[in-house]
Amino acid sequence: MSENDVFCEKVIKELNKVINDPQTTVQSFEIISVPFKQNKSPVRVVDNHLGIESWCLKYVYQYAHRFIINQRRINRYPSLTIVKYLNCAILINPDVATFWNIRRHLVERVQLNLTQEFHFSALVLSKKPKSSEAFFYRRWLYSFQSGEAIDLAVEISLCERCAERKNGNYHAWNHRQWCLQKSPNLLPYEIIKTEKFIRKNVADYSAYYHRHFVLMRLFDLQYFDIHDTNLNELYQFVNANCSLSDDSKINNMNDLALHLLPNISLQSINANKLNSFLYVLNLIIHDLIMMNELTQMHGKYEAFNCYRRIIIKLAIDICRLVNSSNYLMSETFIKNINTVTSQNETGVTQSQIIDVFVKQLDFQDGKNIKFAELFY
Amino acid sequence: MVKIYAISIFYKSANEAKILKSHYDLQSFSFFQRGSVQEFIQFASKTIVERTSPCTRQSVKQDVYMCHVYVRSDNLAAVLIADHEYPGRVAHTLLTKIMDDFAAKVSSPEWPNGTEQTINFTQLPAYIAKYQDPREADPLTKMQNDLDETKIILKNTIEQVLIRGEKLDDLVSQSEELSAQSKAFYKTAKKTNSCCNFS
Amino acid sequence: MDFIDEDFIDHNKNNKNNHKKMEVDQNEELPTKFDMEMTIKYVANHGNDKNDFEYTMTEFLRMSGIYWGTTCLDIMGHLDKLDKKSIIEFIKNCQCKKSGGIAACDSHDPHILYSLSAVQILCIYDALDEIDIPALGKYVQSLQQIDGSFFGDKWGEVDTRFSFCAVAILALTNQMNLIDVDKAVEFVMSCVNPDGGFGSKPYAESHAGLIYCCVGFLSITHNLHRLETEKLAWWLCERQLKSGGLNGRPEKLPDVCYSWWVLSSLTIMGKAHWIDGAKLKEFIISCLDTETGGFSDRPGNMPDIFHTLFGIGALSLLGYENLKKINPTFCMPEEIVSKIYQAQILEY
Repeated sequence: MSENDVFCEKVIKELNKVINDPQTTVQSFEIISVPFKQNKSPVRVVDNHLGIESWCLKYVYQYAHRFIINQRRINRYPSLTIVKYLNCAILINPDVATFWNIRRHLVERVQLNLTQEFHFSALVLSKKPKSSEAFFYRRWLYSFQSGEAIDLAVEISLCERCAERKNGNYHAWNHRQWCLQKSPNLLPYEIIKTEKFIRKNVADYSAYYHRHFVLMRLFDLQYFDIHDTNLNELYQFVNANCSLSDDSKINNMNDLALHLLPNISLQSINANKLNSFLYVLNLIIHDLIMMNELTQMHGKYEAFNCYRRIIIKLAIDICRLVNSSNYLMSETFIKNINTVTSQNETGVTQSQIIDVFVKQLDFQDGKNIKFAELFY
Repeated sequence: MVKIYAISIFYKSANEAKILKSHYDLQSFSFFQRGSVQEFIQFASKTIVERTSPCTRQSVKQDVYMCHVYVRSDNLAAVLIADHEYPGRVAHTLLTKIMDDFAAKVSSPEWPNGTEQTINFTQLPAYIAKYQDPREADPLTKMQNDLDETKIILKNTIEQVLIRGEKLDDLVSQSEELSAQSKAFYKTAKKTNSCCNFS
Repeated sequence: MDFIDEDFIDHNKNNKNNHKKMEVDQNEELPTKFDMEMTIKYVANHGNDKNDFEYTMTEFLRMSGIYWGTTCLDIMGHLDKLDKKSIIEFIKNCQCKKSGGIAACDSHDPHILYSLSAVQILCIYDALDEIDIPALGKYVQSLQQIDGSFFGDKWGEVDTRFSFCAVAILALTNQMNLIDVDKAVEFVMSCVNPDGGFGSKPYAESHAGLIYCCVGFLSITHNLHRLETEKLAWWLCERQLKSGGLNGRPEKLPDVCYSWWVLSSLTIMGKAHWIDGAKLKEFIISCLDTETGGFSDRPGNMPDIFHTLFGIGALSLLGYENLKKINPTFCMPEEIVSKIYQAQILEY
């Protein structure tokens, strides 16, 4: 063994000792910028944080990389002894899919355990919060977990940490969507979480886009919060924008529904769907107000306009849907109506709220831009 | 991010700025960077205060930071280091408030010879925590109508704050407050997105 | 398509000045002219130092690296600077005997991304018959899912990039009949967002690089009528910033590679004139590193071969003098593509 090899073996051993130490669960890994060779070990551990000095990377990475590739030439599916080299190489260079794939083989043969692998991939994300390979690996690992062992709330917290550390973190937000598709019961919590995140990261458009996704999904799932039936922002919006005379101001839900849904007979509708419609619409109004507030506080940001545009479009889309089809009708009623007559859509009066939203859509930064034409 | 990283209070004497109190919130930096980041913030704050005249407000951009500084006519000075997205108007409102509170608590004769150890002013951590959300400063903004935003001098780099002939790199290499590690860090990772670099 | 941008791979975005002495003038003048000789040299010599740390770090995408280099040189009329024989030998060694897929480098695993890069290089060299084309076709076929989407490799990640790679490989090797094209189209169309753009999967945020993949996909499968071109083109135009450069999503910094992803998508839709080409040209050239001849993502940063190709590619789309015409769908010289496959392009 050359002097270089001895040194690299030593560093790799030291790194692995820390990673595998059951006493200290390492929370983070990072590369510490130290450009020149030092006469002490490049591995540093302080309070569960692991670091490696940058000067040694070129030796250690190349050594680990060469070792893994050589092993692979001998045997396509190397044995467990390769893991310590993989740990080192992946932590330094998380983009190498082939290295992750070797781990997959070992997991499939139950030579690596899931808990450790979840921990390791989280460690990689602490170094590179936007590592698509690490997120993909985690999704793959979940396919081995049994239903009750899966806690995607933990996974969402991980996404949030990664998104905070790297603005516009495409893979972290995608991974979060994946979690919510798997566990829709977590969607309602996203309302509070994403508002908080947006206020803290005003220029992170990915967060706004995610919130739009959440609103859309909540509507799809006919969700509403039975403990929060406050629709004040929606009342105020309708009263302020629908040019109602003083004595016809709306102050109860029945009138509100009548105004928003001029063509719908309220007797035969599905109450869940109506509540969900009002709940999501109220959230959209809430967000429009938030965009004004943020503009006042922070000045102009592209994200505010882009978000405004897509949520107004969502508002128009859901208003049209509930107004122009039998979407709101209860299931039994739909069955009956379909056997008696075909649906009659002529003669519907356009709900005024849609015009209001269309106007809002066209208006941006004090200018009239024909977005509605573009959108419809 | 909308984030305050540090607040420090100085007394600006004829030839240097003496630090009286400071507090940091560097959780958003990776663990091993925090030490160097703190040293740099301290270094930048002091450098800027020393080059800001009394009765002046400045907001200086440096990499991912905005350094907001206000030196009062009585030579009390404060620096708030925040992210670019933290509203500058709010930062300056806070500087006024912090120095008012400080002056009420610590009398002016204590300033010239004070140190972080001797000065008894413990509110900075609470300020940093509370005002991470700039909306918390709304009531203050309403009280301080006199803050004229047009009088805040905007600078694009620390270089622009320096006196003719001075160079930031020289100041860094001559600085006694910066450790060798921090100086190396400054040289290799001027950009904080260095986390995505190999070395 | 290879790699889309910094979301999918790091390009080592060091500020170039970090490596120099620090006394570099902050207002260093940016280049306004483009010296092709230097760029040719930069690309031709790229990767000559095989013991380099950087070379090992990027081994996992070697095949794409070679594709970026060959295409770039061919567009500049100097394909002869690379050794055709050794490149073809290299590709042959990367085809997996079992699956038929192609890896980025010998001893790495096959993947659809590198399979496309390999096919593109072989087309440029008119040497498709050097590899087992039917086996590659079977590999692509095996990756299609019931919903029409494609895995990138056997481990099961789905992405619209892989849909593009699949139809591009099959179009260039004349094997499109191997997959269910209608279903593939349905999957891509399920990724349209309310803003008109596309993401990597259904519901994923619109992203200029992935829009290129989806528009390119529809161009290859002759389904451009499925697009709402006005809405999408508007979104793409909003990517142009004051500097003239383009970003890939709202609130992001401009980056030379988006000059390609955005401009090629607009070109395919017949709407390249919707952006300010002169200002974009200025931005791209300002990202030229005059010391080496390579292009970087933004002015003053370290150049790399990836941004060099996409800078040159965009300049070619803008009609820059002395560059060969580039095909907006396949990102290969038009003279090569036109002999093999006719993708759909909308008129002005």
